[in-house]
Amino acid sequence: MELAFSLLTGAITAAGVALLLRGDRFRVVLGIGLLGYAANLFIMASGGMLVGRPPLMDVTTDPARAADPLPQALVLTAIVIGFGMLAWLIALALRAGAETPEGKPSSKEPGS
Amino acid sequence: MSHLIALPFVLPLLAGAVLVALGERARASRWVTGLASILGLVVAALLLRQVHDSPISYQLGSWPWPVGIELYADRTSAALVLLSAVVAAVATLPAVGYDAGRGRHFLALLQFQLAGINGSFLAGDLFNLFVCFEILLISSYALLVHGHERPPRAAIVYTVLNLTGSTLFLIGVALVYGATGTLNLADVTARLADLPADTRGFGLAGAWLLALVFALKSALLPLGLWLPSTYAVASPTVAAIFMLLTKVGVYALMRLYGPWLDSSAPLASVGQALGVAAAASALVGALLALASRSLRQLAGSLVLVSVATALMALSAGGERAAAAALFYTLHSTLAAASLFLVAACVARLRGKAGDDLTTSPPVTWRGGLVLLYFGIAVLVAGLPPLSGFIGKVGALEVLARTPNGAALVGVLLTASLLGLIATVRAGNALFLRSPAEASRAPAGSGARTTGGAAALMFGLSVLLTVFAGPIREWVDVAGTQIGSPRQLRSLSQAELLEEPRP
Repeated sequence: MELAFSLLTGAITAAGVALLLRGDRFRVVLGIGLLGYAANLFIMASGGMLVGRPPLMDVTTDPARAADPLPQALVLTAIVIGFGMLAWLIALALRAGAETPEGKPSSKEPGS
Repeated sequence: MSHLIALPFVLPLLAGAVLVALGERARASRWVTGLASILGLVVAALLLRQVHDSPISYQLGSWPWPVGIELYADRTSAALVLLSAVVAAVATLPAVGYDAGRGRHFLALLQFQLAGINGSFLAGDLFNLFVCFEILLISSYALLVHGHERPPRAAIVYTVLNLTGSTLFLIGVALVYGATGTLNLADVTARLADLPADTRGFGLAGAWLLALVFALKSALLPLGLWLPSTYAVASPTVAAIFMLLTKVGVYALMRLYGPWLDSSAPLASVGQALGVAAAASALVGALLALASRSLRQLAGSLVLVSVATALMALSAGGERAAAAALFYTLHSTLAAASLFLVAACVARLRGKAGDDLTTSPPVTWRGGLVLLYFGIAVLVAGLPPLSGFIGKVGALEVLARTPNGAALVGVLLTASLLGLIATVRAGNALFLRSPAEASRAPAGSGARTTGGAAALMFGLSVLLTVFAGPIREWVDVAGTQIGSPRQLRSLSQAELLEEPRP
């Protein structure tokens, strides 16, 4: 299972990076999304690859039979934050929809 | 246990929530912002006093260290919290009347950003550092596009870059946690220095990834070129507050790697890489400053130089180096923020031409503004007698003792000289070569408030100069705290199983 898991995470990361490096906004958004998933999977793996062990249990039970609860808590937070950020990025990309042609940033921004 | 340490994080969050609820009510929003600024300053000052003797470690939920979530404040964190309170308070003065009217929830976003910044300075563990980074980033994404009809390209680049950075941060955290089994910053640094052979690779890979992310946040070359163009599209008052964002990156680097940079631990190699990147970014930043077309771009390029200077000093390793980096950070934040506020003032005076470095239309407010600009130029360039000189001498002192001392000192001085030429040239174009005209600020443009805020920020740098002696002594102790590993107490099995007492 370790092999399949790491290959899968690697494949998602590679796809994310490849999309991120493309010029247009839609692919970049997809790339960021995929990278986020890969990072989440990676966090899950950092607690060890365990199957069928609960993260929360009684104090009296042997800790060796429990899964590490911390990465699970982390990944939950990371998913929530990643989701929010992705939503923002999509909104931003949509708003930017009809800006100047790609690769030609307008030098006069209506700032200040 | 005093709960004061949580307030710099909680207060702005509360203020932000109130401001969101207030919505469009401008008058009430101003009052709340003003109150939050004052309370923030008071809390930061109190925190500074509390950490005077020894650092504070605060356990959320009273779990024993290092199981629980820790907030940690030593002199460095407290000084940076005070710095952020000061910069935010001064920079919101001109923003309250002007930027707030150009879109929704501006003041609330500022408060959320402040919460994220303070949280990062006080976070005792890696994951909370990540969460606070995200809080300040999401506010900065929104503040950056504030007042723009369409998000400018630089804003999208900034967002994508930082989202990628966040992903790398997560992977780094996972690697470090997998290798060390802890997220507590002090615990992580202690364990990373002495890892068993089978996990050493993972731990070091994680540490390098984190260093990469922090280098991105502090705009270090080759990851720093986003900064001048990003700050050039931000409203100048927002840019003044964004000054604090790069400092968060610098602080994280100090906190995580500071204790090991002069040791023979494997992490010391991070310091060498940092030194090289910082030297390169000082030079490139200075060249960018020469090439900049607007005052904001110039200020942004000089930020590259100033962050690089602080990190060059830090990478020399040791407690004195950390102290020099901290002092330089305090100075450069105030200096750059006042330069951005001057840019805001110029932009408001000139209307459409903004802060472009052209002779016409002339800046209509002579005298005070010109003096202020050249005062800031002296400050930024590090000429005597202002605090820039003291900060730079401190940095040069630690750099001169390193093996490549001569080269590093040369790089730093060259960058300073180029920066000085760039600032003087810009001032020349803006103020001296343009035809003299009316000498009063037009009413209602907000230029007076902005100019006043810039002068106030400059005045604070002067204070930093006048009290440089006691502040240096204070900062030296801060350097010994952050520049050496923290004394850690390991937890017994019995304590671990004990129920937490609220």
